[in-house]
Amino acid sequence: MPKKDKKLEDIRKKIDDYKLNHAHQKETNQIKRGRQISIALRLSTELIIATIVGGVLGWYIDKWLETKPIFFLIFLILGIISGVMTAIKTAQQLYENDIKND
Amino acid sequence: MATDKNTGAPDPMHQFDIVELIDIELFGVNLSFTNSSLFMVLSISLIIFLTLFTVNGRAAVPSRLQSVAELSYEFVAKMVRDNIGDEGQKYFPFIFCLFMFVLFCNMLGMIPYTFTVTSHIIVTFALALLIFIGVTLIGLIIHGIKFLNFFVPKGVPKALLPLLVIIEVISYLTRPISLSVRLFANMMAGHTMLKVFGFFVAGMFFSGNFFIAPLGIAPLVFIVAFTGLEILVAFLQAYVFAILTCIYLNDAIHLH
Repeated sequence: MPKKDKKLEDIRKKIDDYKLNHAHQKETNQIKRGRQISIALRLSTELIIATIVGGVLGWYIDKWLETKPIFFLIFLILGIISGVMTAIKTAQQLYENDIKND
Repeated sequence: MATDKNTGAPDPMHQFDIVELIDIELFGVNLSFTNSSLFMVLSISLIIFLTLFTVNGRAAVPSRLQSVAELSYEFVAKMVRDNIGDEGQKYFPFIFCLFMFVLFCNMLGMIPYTFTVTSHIIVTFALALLIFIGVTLIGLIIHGIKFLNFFVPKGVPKALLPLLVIIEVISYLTRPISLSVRLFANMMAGHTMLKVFGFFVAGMFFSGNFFIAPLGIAPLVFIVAFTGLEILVAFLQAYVFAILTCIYLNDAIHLH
């Protein structure tokens, strides 16, 4: 009898160990992965849309002041810069959050 | 199968057509009840059902639906706490409604023969504009005119300041557009892709050609995998929409 009990005890220990380490690990990995995909989606659209917003703004300023391509070009470049800056800022925040969590 | 009226060719964009179900016209404005409105009402009813009626028992050991309601509540509450902090608790109802609405609209759209509300940019843009104006007003109310400091980055040489202010303003104006375009583009692209590959499957299986018909299995496999990905995207987009609202609110409440 005691032998069987010991075996049961061993199995229970194994299950507890697995639950503690593995199951939890897997879940956090999945959540982490989802979070990473969501960040990728965010950054990619922000880069593109910032450029477009800059271009459209410049276009309308040009139309208003009748100075065709000058402001369009300036704002297009500013739009690209703002997109890249947003991306860098977001990446920095994420990096800081990661350090805080670890 | 939805086909083009003139050419008879398969039309993957047919699923996005707005159909007026009940014609309503008030003061010269078309307020018809469309299929889009129908699915909005449907998703709101489902949310109300989930959040009100499944938690009625308040059982200590929750039923399945009750735990879904509790999990979604905790998920959003954690998101708000992590991203805004304790001051954000009063905005929790708004974020929760937003998240659930977008999530249910996206998920309802994954059922065949349904309509995806969020695949229309006017819907997502209206939501994003509401958030944009609301967040700006909250910032102005809390900080008054000091809110404009938001556009002045700290620790930069004076000569560069005008340029950087313009860049900050552009990036602020980008927010509602990127918020809406991201959701709309992902939903529309995904659903169009599903339909296009659906046509491939049907076209190849029923082509009557013994060599081509078995090959139809390839797009079928792709569709099955892609549907899984689309469900992930449907959830992630709702998540991103809600978390960005949190981040924007946080920016407005805590100036740098």
